[in-house]
Amino acid sequence: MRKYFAFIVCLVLMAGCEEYFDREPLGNPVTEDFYESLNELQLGLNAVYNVMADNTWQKCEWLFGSGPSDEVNRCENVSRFSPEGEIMQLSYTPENIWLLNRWETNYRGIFRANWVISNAEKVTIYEENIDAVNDQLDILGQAKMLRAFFYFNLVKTYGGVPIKPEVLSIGGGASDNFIQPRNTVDEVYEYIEKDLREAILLLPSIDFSNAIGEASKVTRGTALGMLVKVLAYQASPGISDPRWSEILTFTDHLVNAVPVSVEEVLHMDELYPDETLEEISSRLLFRETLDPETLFTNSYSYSLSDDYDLLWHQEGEDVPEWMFYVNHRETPDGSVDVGSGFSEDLCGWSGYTANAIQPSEYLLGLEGGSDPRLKTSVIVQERVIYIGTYNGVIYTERLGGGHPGPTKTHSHKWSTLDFERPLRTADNGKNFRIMRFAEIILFHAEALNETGDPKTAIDLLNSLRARARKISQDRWVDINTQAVNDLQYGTYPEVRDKIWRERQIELNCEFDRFWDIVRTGRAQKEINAMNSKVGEPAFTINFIPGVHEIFAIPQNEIDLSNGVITQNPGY
Amino acid sequence: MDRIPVMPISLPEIIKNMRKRTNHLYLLRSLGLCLALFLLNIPLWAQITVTGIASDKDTGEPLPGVNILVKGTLIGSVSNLEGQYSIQVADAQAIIQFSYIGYLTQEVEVGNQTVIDVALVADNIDLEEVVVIGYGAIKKSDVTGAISSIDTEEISKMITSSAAQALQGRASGVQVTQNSGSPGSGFDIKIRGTGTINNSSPLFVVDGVIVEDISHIPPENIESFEALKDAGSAAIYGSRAANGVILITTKSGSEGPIQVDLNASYAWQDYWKVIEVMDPNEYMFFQQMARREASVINHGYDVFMQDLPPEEMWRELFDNDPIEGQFVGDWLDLISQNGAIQKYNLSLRGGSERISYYVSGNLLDQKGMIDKSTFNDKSILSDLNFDITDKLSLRTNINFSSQRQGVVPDNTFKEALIFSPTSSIYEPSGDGYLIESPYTNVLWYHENQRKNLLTISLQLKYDISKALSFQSRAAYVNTNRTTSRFWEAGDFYYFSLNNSTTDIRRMASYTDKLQWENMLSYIRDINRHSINAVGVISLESSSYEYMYGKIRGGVGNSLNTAYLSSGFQNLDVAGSAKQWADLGFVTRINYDFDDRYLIQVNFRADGSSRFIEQRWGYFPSASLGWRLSQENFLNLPAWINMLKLRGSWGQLGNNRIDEYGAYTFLSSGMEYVFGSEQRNSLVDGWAPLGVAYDAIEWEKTTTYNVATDIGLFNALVFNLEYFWKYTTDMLIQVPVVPSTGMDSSPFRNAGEVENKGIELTMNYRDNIGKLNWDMNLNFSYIQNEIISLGKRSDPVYGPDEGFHNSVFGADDPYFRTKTQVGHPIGEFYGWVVDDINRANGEFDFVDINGDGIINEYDRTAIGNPQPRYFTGFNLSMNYGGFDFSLFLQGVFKVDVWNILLYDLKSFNNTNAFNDSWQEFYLSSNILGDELYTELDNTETATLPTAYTLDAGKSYRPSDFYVEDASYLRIKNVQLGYTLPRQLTEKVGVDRLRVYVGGMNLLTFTNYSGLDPEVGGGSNTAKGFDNANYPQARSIAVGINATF
Repeated sequence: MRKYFAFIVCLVLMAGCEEYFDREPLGNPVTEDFYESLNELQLGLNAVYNVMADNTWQKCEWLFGSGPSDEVNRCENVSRFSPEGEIMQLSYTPENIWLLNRWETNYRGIFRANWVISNAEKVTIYEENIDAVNDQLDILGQAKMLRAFFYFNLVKTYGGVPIKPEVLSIGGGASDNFIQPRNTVDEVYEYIEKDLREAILLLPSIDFSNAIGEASKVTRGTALGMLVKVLAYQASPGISDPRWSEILTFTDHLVNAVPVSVEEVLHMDELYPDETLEEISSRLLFRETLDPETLFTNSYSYSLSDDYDLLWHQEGEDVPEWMFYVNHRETPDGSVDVGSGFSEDLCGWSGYTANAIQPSEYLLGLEGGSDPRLKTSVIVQERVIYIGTYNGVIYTERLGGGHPGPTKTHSHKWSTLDFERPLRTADNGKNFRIMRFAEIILFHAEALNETGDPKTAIDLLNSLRARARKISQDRWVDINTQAVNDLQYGTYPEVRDKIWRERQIELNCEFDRFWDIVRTGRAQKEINAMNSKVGEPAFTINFIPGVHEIFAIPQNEIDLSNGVITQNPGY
Repeated sequence: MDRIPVMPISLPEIIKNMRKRTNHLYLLRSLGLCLALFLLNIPLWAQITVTGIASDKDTGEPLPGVNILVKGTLIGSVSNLEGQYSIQVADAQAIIQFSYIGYLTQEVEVGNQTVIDVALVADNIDLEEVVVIGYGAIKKSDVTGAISSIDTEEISKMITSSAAQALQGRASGVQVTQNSGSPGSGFDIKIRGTGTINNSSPLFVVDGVIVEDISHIPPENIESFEALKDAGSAAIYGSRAANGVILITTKSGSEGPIQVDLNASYAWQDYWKVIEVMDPNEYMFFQQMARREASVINHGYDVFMQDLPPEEMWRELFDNDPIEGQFVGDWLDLISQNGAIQKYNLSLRGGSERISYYVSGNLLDQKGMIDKSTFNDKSILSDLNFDITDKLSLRTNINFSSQRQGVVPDNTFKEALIFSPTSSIYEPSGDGYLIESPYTNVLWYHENQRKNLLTISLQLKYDISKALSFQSRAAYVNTNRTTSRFWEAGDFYYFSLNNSTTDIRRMASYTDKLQWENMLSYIRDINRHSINAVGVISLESSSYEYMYGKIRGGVGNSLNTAYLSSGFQNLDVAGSAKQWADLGFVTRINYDFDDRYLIQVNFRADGSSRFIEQRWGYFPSASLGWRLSQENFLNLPAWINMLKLRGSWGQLGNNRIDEYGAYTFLSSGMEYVFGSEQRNSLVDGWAPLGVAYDAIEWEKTTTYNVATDIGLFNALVFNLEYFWKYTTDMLIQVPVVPSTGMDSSPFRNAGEVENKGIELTMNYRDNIGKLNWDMNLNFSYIQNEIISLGKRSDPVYGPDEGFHNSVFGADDPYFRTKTQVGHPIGEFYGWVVDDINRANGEFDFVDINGDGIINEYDRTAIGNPQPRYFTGFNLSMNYGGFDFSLFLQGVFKVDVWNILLYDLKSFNNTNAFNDSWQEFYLSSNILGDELYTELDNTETATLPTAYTLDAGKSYRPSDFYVEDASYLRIKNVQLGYTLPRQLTEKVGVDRLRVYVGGMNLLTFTNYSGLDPEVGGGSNTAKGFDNANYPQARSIAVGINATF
């Protein structure tokens, strides 16, 4: 009725018309009316996680992290002249669709996280309800941790990228902030570090892997682990850098349960010259100002899983080694399949020939090729790996043949054995893994070596090697678990090489290899080592030092920014 | 003013009476009556004999064939070759009426005269006709904008339920395309080209009420039918008129005794064209050839058929036994039936001094040419007018229509044409199970669409003074649509409940719309000045809701249980809602001086809830007219009856855009799983896909129109128009930098489109003795071009479905249209065929960019689906009791993408081939076998080799599939005979006409598909012929009776 009254008023006064138009948009909620309750904030956060469950995002992780490195050299279903093939051989142009895919998907994560972060304070909660208050902090912390992770992906791929405003607005004039120039690498890392450090304060310290309905959420442990990695990517080996001792502090906290203080986490003097702790606390929605002396104790319960191989199977999905992963799910009858299909698309399985991630023979031949970790994670065509019965059926697992051509390999880490899959076409909800505790141990060793303790570093490496020896031989027909021996102590450079080699084998095909060889300045050397063994020029990688450490900015971004975004040198 | 009407009528009266009659109707009706009377010319009770000569007032020439009637009686006569007549009247009070085609009717009271010579005044054709222009009506001679009036008499001769179909070809600049020949199928109407890549449908106004479409209006109920084409005339509808306006006024009551009209017709329908496909033997032979070829090209495919006996070959090929009589061969024939339309219309019309009424009931029932395609349309219209006092009147108009449509799957025709002719209906095992085939596609699929539309309008009119009146009209429009789909499980031999293919779907939508308009109008003539002004405040609001439910695994094959509660798995539901409100302030002033200088000025301000920041749009227009024929100083010769120049300029808006384009919504469905492998929960995630631009505003179209109207010899009227239409601020999704992380770009006002063209209308009326004839020709030329698509001018690509293979990877699907700057909207896009590669039998494409490689960059524009020329021609004649009408409609220079060719020419691994294969196919020269010699015409073949495996590239989008689909069609022919009144009177019928006719009797076209008229699709995806349901050819009989 008021609308018709407004209309009458319109007739008389030509005023008050606005009320007549005030029609609530129906259907889905508009952003102005959303993010008002904890539940809605959580729904917003779920959408951030959803980005990582996207097939394209996951493919980018392997295509950029492993594709152009020495651990992968060929992709069966991918032609050398395809966009994927060009990335893998570093022969792409800025128009390459995958450059755009990686850029877009990570920025999509940032876009969604920004909605949560910028609206977290809008949520109405009763202050007496401690759980609700903690949930609000938790959600804000998760969003910050994930945003940092997406920016980290971008900065390591493209160098300095634009840091987007938390609230985007479109308009004709100054209010239009869609286009932002590139920030420097240091500025982006500072932004990431702040997010991670603040997330550490906000996030709960519990280990969610055992909490019902909570597993796979990022926690304080995840944020700490990511901070360690981010610091390591900025520090240079062999050069004195305060970051190495900081890494040591955090890895000591994670590995040896040494408490850290709020001050240590925030690194106030360096990172927050313009903000007091009171201001930070208020911005992070803490009800009381944080005390810099407060100590966090380790209650994360991260540990190495007993069986290296088992980690990648169904039973290994919930073990406390996983610090960060994307949860997929598939019901036994296949009726619910929430996953990206990454494993089906790119890793194939026995009996099928379609497998795109092909670990290089160079990787297979490392250290004599007998390390059981390599043997169990890289399968060569026609190699029988398992003969046994499952539910009364005799299985022989092997990688099928088919098309003629070079010998095929596949990464067993990402494929699912036949008897583990509920349907022939599915993957049993195999999770997409991002970070595990073994990597923290490796960073701990690296930081120890860099800060003058190579002996303890070797002890840590040996703990991983001892674990490798525990691989159950039940599944494997042809491996020798005793082929991996303890390492000898050595000098700083010897130990450094051993740590890097250990990373290469332990973390093979976990999409970190390219970043690792770039961050340690060995990209050209390692890639050349592989190129010289490949023989076929068609499958070599064309690495140009000074150019290919970072990828080209997608041409689309440059075009649409009207030149505000500039291209990386060399492209 | 040399042409004074016999009965001078003031303009307000014309407006008041405009629904009662047009001159057309009036002339025809009196003509018919006179003819009847002439045949009945038996003086029985006459006492006075009146004689005289009827002549032309201007020339003094005698007029033969003038109808003479004693008013109020049935006594009539007709003048002879010398113009002489004789008639007997009862007494001195009798009034004699003289009427003649092309002349104004004259009445003379007999008095004491016995010789009455009359000089008839030529009727300046059309000039005194009244044209409805939205919120009022004006004399046709005073029109300054571009308005096409459609001859309602002619369109009621077509056997159609839909006003939209009747409009096709009737007006210049108005292009109507039927989506398909399926019974009840919708129409795409465009006025003066495609103004935007968004919705370019015109605005439909029925009796002042804005409605979504006009398919529910039976042509018989239409009193006047107008298309407002330029800004000068359409600006009164401001924000929604950028794509033109279609105005329909339905019939209303009039004072007088009850008049009952009954129209009934029946038509038989059939295909006008069939495509010949192979018979089983030809097919087998061809398959063998094709597979051999494929086996050579594709390594690993066994060459297995060389020396097999025919039966063996058959089994290898088709996996069944060649049992005589089992093959269907012609699948289309199997699912076809004889189509039929029956149509009934009954109306009552009349009134007393205070109350008048028009009530009409309509029924149309159509059985399509394919089994189960049906259409049923029932509607009632009630129009009542109450003159409460001399100054106050109330008019109520209620229109209800209920349409039911039985729909067959879209691909029915295509499947029936390409399905293997060697397949049988039943399983070869003989168990009586049906094989899934085009036959079962129709048999097991049930789709019913229902649309109910109710319009109620109340109009109160108060005459404040002689010149000033106030009107208030409130209207309510309720549309509800439901669609039900049901796939039977069928009786596959492998059917089981676990594997049920039963699928039940229900869709329902409801729209409620309110419209309230208050109008003040002022009409006054002061000496030679004439003013007609209106002011309107218009308020409109609408809400819409949609629901969807789907479930599988019902109890079986019974339609009785095909409801959602019968299923048990794969439940899927959806729903949405929308609402909007608009408010408009309108003024229009028509001023004319001495009938010579005409000026019209419009201004409309519209506000809409669709926009947030730029809520108001302002739409001005002005038009001028100069009637040169009224100027004395020009001294035009007498044979020029009319010469008028007119021009208009104006800006219009388009509000047919997304209701919520300015809002940033969140979307759901961004799922994630939390929890361990054993205990987890699936959660939904919500996030916006982008940030909307809240300052978007109306799309605006600026139109210039210049025209001239010429009337010659009292018989010929020319109408020539040139228009230039420029759309700016077209709402498009301009891409934003990918680093915003948005999935969809916000709408912004960025694009620009130009349409320009020429329209010509010619009308010629004459008579030779008792043969009267009337010819009407309209012709339009339109050119469409995209001027801008935003800052970076990113092209908009059209559909990519229909192509299963992607040679360049999944990221580069074969888009088939590209809308780009400097080209028309929705232009076809693909490779250009150079020749057939004589070595491998595939197409060679032209290297467009000349880089020596044929790749995706060699695609180019290969056709324009928008017709450049379209025309309509109508001829109607009557002689004595006979009448004849012929209507032709044509579209020229238009391209259609014939998707059927993929299958009929068999590059796409399908089963049937066009019958013409033997002459054209290139067989690979690898084959030397004599069996294939005749196909091995490597030098002369015009078609690529036929592979049954996707080895070739001939299936890629290329100009091979684009055909010119110009056509000229005899849309309607009708021959009628009105029975002599003395016969019909005895059974109480005033007038009885019987007729035979036909629709789509002949179609002239070079297009090879089923029908050159290809409709459907969005503006960027027009002209794709997926073997649509073709238009039917019909033969009809019918009667029109008036009691």
